[in-house]
Amino acid sequence: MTLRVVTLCSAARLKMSPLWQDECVVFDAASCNTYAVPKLSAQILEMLQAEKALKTSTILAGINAKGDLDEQELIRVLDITLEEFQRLGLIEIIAS
Amino acid sequence: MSSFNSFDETLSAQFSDKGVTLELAPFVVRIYTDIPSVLAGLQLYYSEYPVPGSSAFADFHVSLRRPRSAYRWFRPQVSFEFDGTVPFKPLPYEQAYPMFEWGLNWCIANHCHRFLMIHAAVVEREGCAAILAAPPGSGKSTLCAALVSRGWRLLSDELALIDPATLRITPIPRPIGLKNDSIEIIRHFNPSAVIGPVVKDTRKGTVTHMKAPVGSILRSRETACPAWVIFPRYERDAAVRLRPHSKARTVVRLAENSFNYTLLGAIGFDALIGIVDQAECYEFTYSKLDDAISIFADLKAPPLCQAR
Amino acid sequence: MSGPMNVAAAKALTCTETLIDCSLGDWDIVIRQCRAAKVLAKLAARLEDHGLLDLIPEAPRRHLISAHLVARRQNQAVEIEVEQIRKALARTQAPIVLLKGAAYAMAGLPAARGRVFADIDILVPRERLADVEAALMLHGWISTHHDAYDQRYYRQWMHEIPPMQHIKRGTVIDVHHAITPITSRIRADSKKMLAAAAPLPGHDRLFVLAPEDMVLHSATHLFLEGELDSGFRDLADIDTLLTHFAAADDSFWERLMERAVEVGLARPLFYAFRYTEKILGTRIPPRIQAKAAVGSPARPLLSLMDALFLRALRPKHSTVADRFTGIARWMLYVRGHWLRMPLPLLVYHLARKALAVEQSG
Repeated sequence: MTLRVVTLCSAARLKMSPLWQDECVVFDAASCNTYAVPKLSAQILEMLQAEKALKTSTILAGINAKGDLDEQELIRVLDITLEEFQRLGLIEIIAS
Repeated sequence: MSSFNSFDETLSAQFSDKGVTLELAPFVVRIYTDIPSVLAGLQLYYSEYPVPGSSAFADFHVSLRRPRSAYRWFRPQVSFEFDGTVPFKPLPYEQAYPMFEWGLNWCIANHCHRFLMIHAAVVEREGCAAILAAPPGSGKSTLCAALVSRGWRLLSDELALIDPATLRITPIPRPIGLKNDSIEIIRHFNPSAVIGPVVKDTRKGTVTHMKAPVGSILRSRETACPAWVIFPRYERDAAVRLRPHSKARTVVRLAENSFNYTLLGAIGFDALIGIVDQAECYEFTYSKLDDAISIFADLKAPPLCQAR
Repeated sequence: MSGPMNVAAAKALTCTETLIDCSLGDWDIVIRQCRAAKVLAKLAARLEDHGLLDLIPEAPRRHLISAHLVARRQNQAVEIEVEQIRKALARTQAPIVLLKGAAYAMAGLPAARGRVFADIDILVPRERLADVEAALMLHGWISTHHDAYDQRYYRQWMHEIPPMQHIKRGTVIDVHHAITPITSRIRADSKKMLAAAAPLPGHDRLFVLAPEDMVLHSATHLFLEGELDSGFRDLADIDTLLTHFAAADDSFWERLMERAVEVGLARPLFYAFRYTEKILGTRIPPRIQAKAAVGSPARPLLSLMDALFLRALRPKHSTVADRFTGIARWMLYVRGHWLRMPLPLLVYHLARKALAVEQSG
């Protein structure tokens, strides 16, 4: 996995719905765009809301706190998720 | 003048000058027109609505008139005015009545941001409302007309007006728009339905309206709790099917079907989340109206709505 | 001192506290006039300032809140759009002076409260215009006027290039390179005004005009250009700016007057004082009014201007129109063109426009 540091574009402008059946709705008040995202994505955004900036390794450890998920699969999913968030303008990857 | 029951052709000049005021709870509309098809439509569809005095506050002042252009000699037209502004291009004169209904929808959708507005039909039973949200052509209005023909109360066939503070739905019962095949389907399904003159070759095809049930008009001040969000789809020869739908995707789809979600920003998001959180969400496919009616009869109210 | 003109919208904005005694029939007129004049959200803001919004009857209040929500959204959208413009123009290094609504919003001025806007106006130095236009095109803005005549008209007779619209967002930007048209009969010293622009704190390369110049620009736009569809709203902007700046600084009136003479805009300032006072009851110190008379036209012309402006500056609504309102608006439109182009061209231009209207109608 490439080590990167990730920040939210603006934490204050993000709102999230409760978790329903392993899905969640994310609202970006800057663009008023609304997205349905899986539980894992919601977890990542929540961690980013709590901290200013996070290393991808920290995010990985956070979502696999119990250590019961397949690490290689998680890395793959995390990469895809972060790229998607970046494309939507929700996060910035500030260091590679 | 207390109601349209005393309507008379000779009064049309008065309608043109002073206007006629109708209370379509929660809005009051003042209409100025001397076009016979509009006056006849108002008499047919709106005779049971309250008529406040002409000095009352009106939310919308609208008029339907023949525009003064040279073109009118070749092909008569009708133009819709909202308090002196002309939001649309004129339509052929025969389409004057549907233009009134469409114009009024435009007025509401553009000036009532006190509500979160979703493009949906809404029907109610025992205080619980079903929001039927779907793009045009999915059979939403047909299903709505069928349901109100079998005891459901009509809240609206076009607009869910959601109060962001209480999450309750404010009714605005008006004639139900029917188009193309659904006109004959509803005539057959409910022979006692009041269906007005048919207008051909509009941009929506052949259209007419079905009068709202009188019971729904009389109860237009009673709000309702959103209990079910349903995305209906008419599919030829399909078996009737009601499937639970992801709540998260329901929010996204309702947002896409809303007139002012983006305008309201976080207020709109919070309202949608609140509604979807308490409501049951479904996708619904049907081909026969009788099957649809029996599925809807079996809908169970979710706990948050029962408590009220 | 005279009070506001007997127009419901003017009374509502200036004597807001009296609205509490309004009947529903009065409210019907107030809401319609304010909506037509695009000041409904401004009225909502004034009512809120007086702590009266919650005391207004439900039916009119719903429209006030609705208008307030629209204005709030537009204010947020302006902030986002201005940032997009700033980013798009980053490589040109050109200073960007925000004008009118965008300036009021970004500078946090009371004039932005409840103000609705359609597009964003910016002013850039004339020598940077080509760079700015190219950079905007590179970032997705395209010219809205494709007609060769319109393009030439703008570039030759206007102080701005044809409006540009963003392909994805649909937002419109008006790029100005001067305060008044190049050939205008009344010409402002745009360079001086540009030089005095103040940086907007926290926003690299963004500026707003100095307070006096902001008033002068607003007055110039309203009283010279002849586009009076939003005239009442623009007049209310000037009233709010004057009241705000004068309250913050005792010497504002004197500086405003001196500046108007310095940059050649004493005429529009004279009109601004005259008609804000006559229509909205704006309080302008008598000594300043006396000084402003240097900008007054000769008597007969002033009587004509009164007859025209006192009609055209009312809300564009049937309840405040008389049989001369339409002709007054038209004459001011023609005057706007007369002020910036030679007569033969004016005749040609108006004929062309009349023909275009007939074809599209």
